[in-house]
Amino acid sequence: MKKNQELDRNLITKVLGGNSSAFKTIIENTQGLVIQIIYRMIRNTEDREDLAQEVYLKVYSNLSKFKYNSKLSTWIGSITYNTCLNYLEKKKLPIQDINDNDAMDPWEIIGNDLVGNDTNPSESYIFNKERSQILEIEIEKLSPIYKTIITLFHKEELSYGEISKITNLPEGTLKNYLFRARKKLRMNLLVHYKKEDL
Amino acid sequence: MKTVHLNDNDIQQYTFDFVNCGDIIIEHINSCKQCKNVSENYQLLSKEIKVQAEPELAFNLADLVMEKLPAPITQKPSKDYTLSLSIIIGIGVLVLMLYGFKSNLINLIEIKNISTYFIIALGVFVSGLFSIDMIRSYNKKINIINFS
Repeated sequence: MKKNQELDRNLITKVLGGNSSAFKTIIENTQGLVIQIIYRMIRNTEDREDLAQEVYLKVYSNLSKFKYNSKLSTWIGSITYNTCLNYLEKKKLPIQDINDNDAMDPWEIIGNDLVGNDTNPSESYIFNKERSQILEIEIEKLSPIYKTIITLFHKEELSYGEISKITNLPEGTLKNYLFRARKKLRMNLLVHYKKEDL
Repeated sequence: MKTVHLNDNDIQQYTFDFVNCGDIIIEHINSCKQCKNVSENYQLLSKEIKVQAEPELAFNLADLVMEKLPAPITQKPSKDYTLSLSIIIGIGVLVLMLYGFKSNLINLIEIKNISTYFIIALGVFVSGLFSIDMIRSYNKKINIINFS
């Protein structure tokens, strides 16, 4: 952690000192996270590409304002997230799923008869059949915020604190969103694939 | 041990936030195959998300951004001068006001009534709180503007 911060500080000092090529290293170190966030938040391919460039141009012009309160990648992640949110707001696209069925309970949907078995055939079947494709389709169906936080937590393995800084959501709200997103993802997998697959 | 099944949030907490999970939940899942099964499926879901393919752009992002970068940036000292100048002007105005209302202020201090001092102290305290709050919300808004 300290080593990373030292590395960040070094790179920023170089960029602020006029060495633009150090900025290339910053891009290469952080683009994985930036692209993940943009892909989860934005559907249109061309807009994704434009936004990725816009993010780094913002990072470049605001680099002198970085206060070292977080990792550089987290700060860049938050710029990415806010840029995407602004884009969605401008285009009047939904940010959060308004049909989020919070009242759903897994036991009610699946039925105790199915889940009550020692092994749950529908779930094991789903996870054995073209797993990643099916999962990708179902993740895509989630709202942009849910997709993003699920990816940041499970794929990028960021901590609650880091995701909280990126999304500017309080940790409690973030945990709640994560619970709902995972539940919705699991329920969608079960509801959409159990009938025809079993 | 709970006799009814755990709700989804409890199962997820056991699966992904074990450190903060209550003993009752742990005890229940250890002895309930149904809830354990749901927990294992969440674990599997998490593993599957982890191995999903990384998204890629069709071009080299670093090269493209480097082409579009404006002139090399340097820290802007002019901003600090503006701030210092504002502070100096502010202090100057304050000193002038104190000088202008000198006699009134002296009269105020000479008042022996303790409740007057209390009201003044309270006023200063509340103003201080308001000022801190204003500065905080200003900084927060400025940060949001900078990021968007």
